[in-house]
Amino acid sequence: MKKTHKSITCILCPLGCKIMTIRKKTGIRVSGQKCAKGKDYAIQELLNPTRVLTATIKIKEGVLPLLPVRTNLPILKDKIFECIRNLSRLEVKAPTKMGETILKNIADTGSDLISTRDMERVQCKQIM
Amino acid sequence: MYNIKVDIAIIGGGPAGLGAACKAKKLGIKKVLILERDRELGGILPQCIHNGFGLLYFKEDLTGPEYATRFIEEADKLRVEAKLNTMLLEITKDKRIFGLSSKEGLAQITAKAVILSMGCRERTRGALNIPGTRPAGIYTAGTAQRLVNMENLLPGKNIVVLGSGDVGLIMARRLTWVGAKVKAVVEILPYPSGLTRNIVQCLEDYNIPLILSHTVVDIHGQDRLKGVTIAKVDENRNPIKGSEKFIPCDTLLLSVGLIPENELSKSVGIELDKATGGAFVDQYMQTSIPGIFACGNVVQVYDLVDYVTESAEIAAKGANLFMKGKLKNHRTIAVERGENVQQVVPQRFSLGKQVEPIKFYIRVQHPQEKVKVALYWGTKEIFSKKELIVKPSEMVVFEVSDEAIRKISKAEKVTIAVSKHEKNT
Ligand SMILES: Cc1cc2nc3c(=O)[nH]c(=O)nc-3n(C[C@H](O)[C@H](O)[C@H](O)COP(=O)(O)OP(=O)(O)OC[C@H]3O[C@@H](n4cnc5c(N)ncnc54)[C@H](O)[C@@H]3O)c2cc1C
Ligand code: SF4
Repeated sequence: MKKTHKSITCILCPLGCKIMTIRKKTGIRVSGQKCAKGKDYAIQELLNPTRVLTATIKIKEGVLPLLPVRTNLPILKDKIFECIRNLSRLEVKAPTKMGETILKNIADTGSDLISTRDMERVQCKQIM
Repeated sequence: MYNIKVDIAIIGGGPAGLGAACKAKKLGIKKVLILERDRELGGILPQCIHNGFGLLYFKEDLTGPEYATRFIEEADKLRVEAKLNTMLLEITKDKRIFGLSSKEGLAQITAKAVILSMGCRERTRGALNIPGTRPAGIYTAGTAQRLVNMENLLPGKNIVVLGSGDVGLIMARRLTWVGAKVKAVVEILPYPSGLTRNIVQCLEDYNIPLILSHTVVDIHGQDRLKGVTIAKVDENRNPIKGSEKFIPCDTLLLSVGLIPENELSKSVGIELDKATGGAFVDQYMQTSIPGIFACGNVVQVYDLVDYVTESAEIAAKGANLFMKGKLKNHRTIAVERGENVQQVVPQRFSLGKQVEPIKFYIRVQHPQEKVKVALYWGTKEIFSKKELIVKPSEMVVFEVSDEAIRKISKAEKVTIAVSKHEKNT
């Protein structure tokens, strides 16, 4: 494996240190962090960066056309676009409750997709 | 006609209004009414579908709708009343409020105390004076957020964002996720105005360029936007000739700041602070008119919703004290802004018999490292704390002890300043 450099901005505190990581056969070298937490963060970001995905899916008969959703756990960053492709095919029907599971183990990430608000059904007669 | 008498009337049902209402109920106040012009509670939060809310208040990473729902459910449990679809238009000094309800027409509310929580609105292009044509395809970042997240509409495919405020950063990522190409975020200042977390997770993650010390100097296109010309700016923010560059795009998002929404406050003659754009308040969040309180982004644009909730709870406590007649005969001490302080809230405080620590929320003018945030009476330093770094994008919370407050009880005015720490270690 050849040597690779990557600069990572630590987001754990307002200092926002620019941490340089150098990945070599023998291991990872980290420099530029002003505290120990930064080292762990940089290594995590280098090897295993994860993010919570938040998005919307279509909802039928809801007071709004879209239902906001999220993954209940952070997922691998590389899986985000695959998850989004899965979402575009989904459609649920109102009413839904906040926290309801919409899709289990989305794109094999081990994380479930849950709704993040209540969505009432639209009433037949439009009330103001 | 809708006519009602209440103990506390709260204008605006966003997180500030909801937080104040819940706290007022918990303090034992009977009739608490939220008045909201929208068809649902939650304020701006239902469209902020991303996470990052509640890290301080709930110690959890929630999305905007989740944060709002928690408070809506709690308000429901506590039997807070809410009147939706009601636009308030005028307040009087004797705390009568007039507005229009879409169902009952004219609405009149009489209250013992009023809490203003109307939030903020976005600065628009008009406020910025960009030359060029007026084609379609220019939106504020918040409008784009509403279109994409609530109405299922995509504002465009090739996007330039002007301003590095948080809403713009969040939208850069969101639009990338739904298939648009975000060409650049252009910021006039030499540093970003959004949170570092958003710079990293919304721009760096997707290789979206952040172009600092640049601004949009021209807009092209007749019916639809065809592109923008950007240019580098000098230290005085004037474009530098010869540095112009054309970026083709069909959409320009403006993320150039938020302004407290104070039309109503003006109608009753509440004194406004030019620095914050909101009312002058004391440590109880009481405005210049006794019995009218304000909280949340209508007072000052707080960057975190958690601070908004905190200010709301303080306003509810203040309203409770006011109704019990406990805010009378207080002495008022003004807080002036010293070196590197852009805004400070509260701008004054009042002292009665009981003295409690006071939290000041400070926004600095420019980034600075190894500083001391201090409170002075004349030239004498009364209380201070050190910070490794301060930035305009992240508010400084400065809690002054009750002991220090007692020391300045005879002062007319005090100053808060941020300065380089003498012993530079
Ligand atoms: C577009 C946008 C996006 C934002 N995104 C984020 C974010 O991602 N993260 C974050 O922490 N903060 C964000 N903010 C800041 C956000 O405003 C605050 O975090 C929080 O929502 C402020 O709460 P608030 O209750 O003070 O105001 P708001 O949430 O704005 O609520 C104000 C309420 O008052 C109502 N109102 C106003 N005037 C009247 C009237 N005359 N009569 C009746 N009702 C009235 C409005 O309809 C609204 O419901 C954003 C702000 C904007 C404008
Ligand atoms: S490395 Fe430490 S000091 Fe630097 S930003 Fe991260 S947490 Fe803050």
